[in-house]
Amino acid sequence: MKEVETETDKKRKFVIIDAQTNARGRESSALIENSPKLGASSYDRPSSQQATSFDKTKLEQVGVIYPGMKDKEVLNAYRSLRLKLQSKMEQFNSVILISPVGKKGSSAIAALNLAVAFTLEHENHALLIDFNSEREDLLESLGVDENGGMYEFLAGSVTDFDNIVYPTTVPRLSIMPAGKSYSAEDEALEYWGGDKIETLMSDIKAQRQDRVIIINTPSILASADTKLLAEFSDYVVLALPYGRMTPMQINKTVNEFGKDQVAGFVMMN
Amino acid sequence: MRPNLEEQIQIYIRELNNKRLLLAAIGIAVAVVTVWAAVSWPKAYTASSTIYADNRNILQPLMAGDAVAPSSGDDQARMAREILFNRAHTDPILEAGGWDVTQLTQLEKDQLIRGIQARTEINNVGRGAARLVMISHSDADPTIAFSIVQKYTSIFIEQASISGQEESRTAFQFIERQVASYQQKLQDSEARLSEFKSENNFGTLANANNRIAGYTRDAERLQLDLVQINTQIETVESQLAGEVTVLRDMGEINSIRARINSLQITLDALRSRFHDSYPDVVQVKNQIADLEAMLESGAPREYAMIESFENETVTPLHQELRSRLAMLQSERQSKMSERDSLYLLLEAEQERARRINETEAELAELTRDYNVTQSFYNSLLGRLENARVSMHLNEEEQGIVFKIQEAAVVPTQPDGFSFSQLLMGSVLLAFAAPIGLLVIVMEVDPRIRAESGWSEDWPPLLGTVPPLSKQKSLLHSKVVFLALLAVIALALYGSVVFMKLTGVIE
Repeated sequence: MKEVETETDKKRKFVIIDAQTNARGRESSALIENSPKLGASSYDRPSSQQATSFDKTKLEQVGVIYPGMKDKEVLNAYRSLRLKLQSKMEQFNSVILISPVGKKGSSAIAALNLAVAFTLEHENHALLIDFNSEREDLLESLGVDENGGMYEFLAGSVTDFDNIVYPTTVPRLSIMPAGKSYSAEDEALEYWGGDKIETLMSDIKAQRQDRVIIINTPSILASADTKLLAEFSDYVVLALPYGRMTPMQINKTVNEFGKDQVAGFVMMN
Repeated sequence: MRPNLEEQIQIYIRELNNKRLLLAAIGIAVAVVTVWAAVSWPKAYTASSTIYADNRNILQPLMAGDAVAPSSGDDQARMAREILFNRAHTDPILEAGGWDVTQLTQLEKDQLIRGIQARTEINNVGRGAARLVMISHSDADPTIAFSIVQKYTSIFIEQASISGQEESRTAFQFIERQVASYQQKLQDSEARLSEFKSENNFGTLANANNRIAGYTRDAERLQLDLVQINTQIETVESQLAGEVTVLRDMGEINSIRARINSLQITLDALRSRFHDSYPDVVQVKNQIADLEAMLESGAPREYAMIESFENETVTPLHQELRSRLAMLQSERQSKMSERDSLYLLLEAEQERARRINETEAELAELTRDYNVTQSFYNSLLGRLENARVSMHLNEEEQGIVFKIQEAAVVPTQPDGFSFSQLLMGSVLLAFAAPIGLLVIVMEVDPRIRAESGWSEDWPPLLGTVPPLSKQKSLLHSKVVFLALLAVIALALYGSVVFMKLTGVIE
């Protein structure tokens, strides 16, 4: 049994956690369905869009945190990051944008794990909007069968944004991919218009009060989409890789966002 | 902000671990290179000998004191080098080095000897005017090094003693010439002095001063006498003048008496003819009465001496006074003339004294000149004899000038570090080089690794996510890595030592 010292000490938490640890190593069906606390909400889709299996080893390979993992320090680091952010957040359904420092680099894992960290508190949900299309295997490991993302929504081929919100093998975590036709170099979001995005964002926020929205973007120095998205974000967190960024690069990135908008950094080792 | 020590150590350890393959590769590369250098470094053996060279310039002790010694180099080494690297010694040295001089061309000989000279060092040992010279030579073959040094040493001693004799003879001749020239000088000086003396024999200043004093004294005394005499003369003169007054008075009385007498005679004549009441008789009587009255009323002064204005009537006192006056006057005269002649003498004497002063300076100079020359000449005579003796000493080689302080031996150890020292150095370097490089790179690298490098302008660091621990495969194990490294190092050094010991490497 793993201790859950940093979690809230609600018994239901224990049950869920235990259920998850018991499911270790075994292919089990999506716990989302079986979890008593998570009622089926409008976005918990059954059928084709549902995550099929909770494959821990796959997640381990990707580097996703889960309760009861061996590297407890990693798990706790994300937890404390989440707590710090929560103390800043005025309301839970805020939009947190995560972007890497420097021109190259990816904050995908940081964003994903942060989103997972938010779901560890049992009544909370998280939506990860992933604009970093480099890690395509990410979607696969999360058990997402993509059928269009934000790009398609903006282009108009998908009308209901619920259709682009996919649940994952991680409980209470859903993901909105960037879109099959999206590529960061094209900077397509700008093209489709900021108003639409604004509307989308406010709709998503309004849909659930207990869901935090985390956007993973490419580097602001590489893509203008990031700046656009940052306008609709409440907080910006920058992912800083260990020992690879010079102060100049950090300054650049911070200045691009605007110092006041950046809530802080997380150093990734 | 610089990272604090603890953080910095953690960072270094982390970097060390991250880059361990690279660092290990650098270390091994450095080890291999240094070991190879240690093995293949050309060895040189150095032989040396030390010579006690009392080759002071012979002149120096001889001339010490009054003259400035000629500047001789106390740089014995330089002189030795000049002697030894002379071309005349090429052949014997080359033979000592093992070459066959008959087979070599001049050019070859030149090259060889230059090479030998390049590897030969001749140095002064010790500070100041120390007289040890060290000759040392390096060669790959210890026996050659030894024989060359030996040859140089013997050549040096031979040459030096020859030059020693040379030098003492030259010194002697030099002093001889100096003596002759000073003798001449002395004679000249003597001649000048005596000439001067004979021309200007004014006597000494002391005598002149004495005489001046004497004359002055006498003149003063005469002066006093003169004053006295003058006083006396004045006295006598005044005395005489007094007498004259008396005489004048007496003369007056006498003339009145004589007039009375003549009037009496007239009266008598008249009375004989006329009556007393006759007017002429009365007149004459009245005249007589008047005169008698005048006589009685006159102040009676009575002096012994009598002298009238017109004729020379004298009294004894008067005469005495006059004779005394004459005496005094003549005395005065003589004293005055004496005084005048004294003044003349005095003047002459002062003139002489002045002349003596003038010439005395010159005399003193000439005398001094003579004295100095004489003393120098005497000392030179002494030195001449010294030089003569040392010349004879050197000729008979009684004076020992050179001595081998430390003879050459065949060197057993090569120069530079020993093999084991080199190996240890190699180990240290192989260990230090990669770490040193790491430190340098880390210091220079500005990239952010920890919170302590955080700038104040930036938003805060909210959290640090540690790395996921990788699978514990054998490849990644620290222990395995270190073990492998140790094995490689041992293999490398062990094999080198083994080869050295078994003589595969010299």
